[in-house]
Amino acid sequence: MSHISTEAAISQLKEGRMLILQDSSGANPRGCFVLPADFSTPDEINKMIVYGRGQISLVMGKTKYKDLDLPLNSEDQVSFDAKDVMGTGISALDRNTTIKVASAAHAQLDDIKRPGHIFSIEAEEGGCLVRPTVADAAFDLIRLGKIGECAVVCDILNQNGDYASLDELEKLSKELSLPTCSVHEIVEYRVQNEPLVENINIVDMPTEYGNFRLHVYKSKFDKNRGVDLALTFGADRFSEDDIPLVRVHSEWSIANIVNRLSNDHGSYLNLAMKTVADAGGVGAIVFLRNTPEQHTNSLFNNDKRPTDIWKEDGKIRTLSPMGKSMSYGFGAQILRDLGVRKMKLLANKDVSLSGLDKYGLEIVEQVRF
Amino acid sequence: MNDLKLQLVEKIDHLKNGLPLIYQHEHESSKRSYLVMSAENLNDSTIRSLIGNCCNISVLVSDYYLSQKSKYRNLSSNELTLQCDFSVEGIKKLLSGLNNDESLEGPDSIILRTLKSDAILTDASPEARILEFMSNVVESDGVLLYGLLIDKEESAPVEKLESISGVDAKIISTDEIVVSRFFNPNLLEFTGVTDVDLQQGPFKLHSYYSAIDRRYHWAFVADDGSDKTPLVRVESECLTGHVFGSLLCDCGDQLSQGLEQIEKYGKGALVYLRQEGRGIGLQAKLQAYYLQQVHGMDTVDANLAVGMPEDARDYVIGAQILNHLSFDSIKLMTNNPAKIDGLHRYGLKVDTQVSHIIPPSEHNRRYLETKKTRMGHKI
Repeated sequence: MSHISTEAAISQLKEGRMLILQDSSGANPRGCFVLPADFSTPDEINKMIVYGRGQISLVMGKTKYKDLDLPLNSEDQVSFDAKDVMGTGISALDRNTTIKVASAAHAQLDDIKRPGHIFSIEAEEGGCLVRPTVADAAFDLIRLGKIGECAVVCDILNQNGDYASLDELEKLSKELSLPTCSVHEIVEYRVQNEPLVENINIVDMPTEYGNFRLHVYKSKFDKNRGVDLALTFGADRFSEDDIPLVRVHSEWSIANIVNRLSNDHGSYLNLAMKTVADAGGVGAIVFLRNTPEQHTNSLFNNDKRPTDIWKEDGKIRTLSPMGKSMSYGFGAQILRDLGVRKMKLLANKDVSLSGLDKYGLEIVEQVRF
Repeated sequence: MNDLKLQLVEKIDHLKNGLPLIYQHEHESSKRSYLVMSAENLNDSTIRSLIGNCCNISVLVSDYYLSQKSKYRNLSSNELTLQCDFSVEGIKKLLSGLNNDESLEGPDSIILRTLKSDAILTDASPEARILEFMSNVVESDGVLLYGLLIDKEESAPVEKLESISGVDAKIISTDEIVVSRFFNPNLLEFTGVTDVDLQQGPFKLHSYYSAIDRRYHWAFVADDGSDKTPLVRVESECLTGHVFGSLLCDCGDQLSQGLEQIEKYGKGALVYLRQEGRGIGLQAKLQAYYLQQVHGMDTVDANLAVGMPEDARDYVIGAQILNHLSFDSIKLMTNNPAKIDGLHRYGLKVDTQVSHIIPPSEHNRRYLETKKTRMGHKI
């Protein structure tokens, strides 16, 4: 069987067919079976037990967690059985019954008993955008397809009892004729298709380079992310016919300030501002902020970190912004929110921004400055 | 050692001598007092004063204190009732029992309270404050014994400390605990230095990481090798002014002219603290901008309207950085008397105040006027 897109994965699940979700990021790739609880049958559960070998869990949202009185905001999984299982709760038939009972629309605390043989996982509200795990990605698929309230997942182990490798997952997918899809593609799909940023404020920002409007953006999901900013020139929002000059900039710690103080024309950011203002048309400069200081530290045990700032090739270097690809999505989303469709991109290096079309953005010209 | 530190060390010495401290914790409208002593330096009379005046007697440790093999290391609850004997010997046995397999027994109940060391700074409980004080002043997390002071007759928390008799205790205040952070070298890490060539001249750029706000802070340092009193400017982060060149405030010019003065003088530093918008944060600052632009408020009223104090800046990190640079006595470039007090508090001597006036522009005239009339700036 083949690897399918997120869209195809959603239709696959809508038709009640199981799939294999793989997480290839990080050092330890892993995979799991995914099935909407609404389509669970003893046969499908048995398939998970035989070929998956891992724990069978039910991924649920907050409301369901509250209805069943499971411990919210806890990493600990809780096991449970339906009250009226036929046997001990371990058989495929019993586990299916538990899944059906718990996922039913009006399920309540009295319908289940603890402990048991199905394990609970609380879905993160922001889904795989905030926590890119297979469980959260599985729940996102169910949520995006509006296929009931719960996802059944089962970790896939190989014959040695380790997490199945990507090769082994592919073999299994062929053997069982189940398609695979991946967590990072689901993350990408959501970044491209859902509004993740919210414009919360616009103020006047007269600067020595020109008079701008400063837009304040907040992430809808990531509470730890501070605000991102955009400066617009000539308009607050752009119309379909506008082709604004655009520059996307990342906050780069103290280097933003040092660069401004080092040159009489200011930093590249300032030069971009000046270029946009002097051109006299419309323009937008996105300023993505980052928080390289999100380290944990303790009062007594002070772990050494790499130095924050150093010099290399005569240039100031600092810790790189975190979550670069996510930031890229944020930048594209901010531009879309400002109404940008076609743009002239201010960049001095040759840029290959493949994939921008997925956000509905098009670069018609690269402008060096 | 400066006077402030002497005063704090005196209190720790009191603990080391087996005598108690009293910590008054203010929470919302209630005030509670705790009798605190070092569990490692006990004597019969301090234990008697604890038993005689307190309830909820507890032993307080950080998770870092409990050794890897302690069976209490990974408890899911931070409170556990243990049995012991309320005597010098009994407490000794309890302490050794925490880190080995001996079973704990005795006629008296005591609560073991464990605090997560990496959360102590953000934990608002009285226990966290007490433990933090120890760690700040003597760089040890120690083991403390403490209890809530109660009036035995009314069996209610003690309101007035005068009613406690026969206890030789010194009092520590919340303020002293905050100030004590200055003395904890573990709270500021020097993470690097690099040369920068600015329009204002060459500087050494120092980078620091503060455990207090978990952020990096910087200092542009000039040193011509002379031993004159260093010229210092403490600048707070202003993204709009320093990075975008906003004309709504005078921060951009304050920064460049501050550096220029320091370079010209030859010795000193510009300390760059990450407290955006007088400490209220970028988002709130820009909300306040909106209120100023659309509703015509001034900068003070707008800050108050977004639910923030007019000035939320604190200078403990700045003081620590100046301390790291070995600047004891400084010439401070400021128009803001609150900044002088802010540094004075930590024992830094402000030898001279040098005013730092930027001529107003069309955009920031009102902002500067407000600084003068409402915030006491001398401009």
